[in-house]
Amino acid sequence: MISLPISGEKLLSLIPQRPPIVMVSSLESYDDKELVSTFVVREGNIFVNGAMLAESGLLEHMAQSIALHTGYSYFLKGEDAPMGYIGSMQNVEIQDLPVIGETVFSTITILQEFMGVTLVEIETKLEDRIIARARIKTVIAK
Amino acid sequence: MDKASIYQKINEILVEEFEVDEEIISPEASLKESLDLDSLDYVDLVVIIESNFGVKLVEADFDEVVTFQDFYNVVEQKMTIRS
Repeated sequence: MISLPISGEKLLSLIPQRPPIVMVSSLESYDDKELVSTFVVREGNIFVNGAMLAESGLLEHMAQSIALHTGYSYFLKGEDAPMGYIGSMQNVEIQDLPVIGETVFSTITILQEFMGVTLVEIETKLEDRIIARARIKTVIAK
Repeated sequence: MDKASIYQKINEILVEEFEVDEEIISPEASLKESLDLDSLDYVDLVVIIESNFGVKLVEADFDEVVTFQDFYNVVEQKMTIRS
């Protein structure tokens, strides 16, 4: 059993993404309906424009947080992390973006899983301030 | 809640969620085709039924659902079992 928090190589074993497109830094907490992840914005990240993370980078972080939930749940079952796809993004609100050196915390909540589609609500915070929200549907590749 | 009220409520939430005209909804019409449902939409359908009626639909519930009437019947049966 891996103890939380998880980062580094152990984290990579839980998601299908690989550098330079890894947009989660740690898994802080997990249960079957919720997960908290972090992402530290580093210089040189491909989603950084100037000193600020681009919106697309924040959305990618949100999507990868969902992949992390799926990956960790498969790990707990003793199976490899599956490939998944974003089915849709709804109700996306981005109020602020982190800059290099800042860490965002994202909480994902599984609202529903049905016919291979998972509906997730995700909230991203920067220093206790909500900077982004979205509802995302993901589909696991068969 | 009687049958007519359940059907009316289902129609209202379907019209709102899937942005369709109420006129296209009839008991004999195809649920999938009328609402233009794809695989991603079914999860929304499950969410709105659970939040409005307090019953959770599962994949097997849709095995025999073709028409709106079939769908009404499934929701009604689930509500009966719950109570």
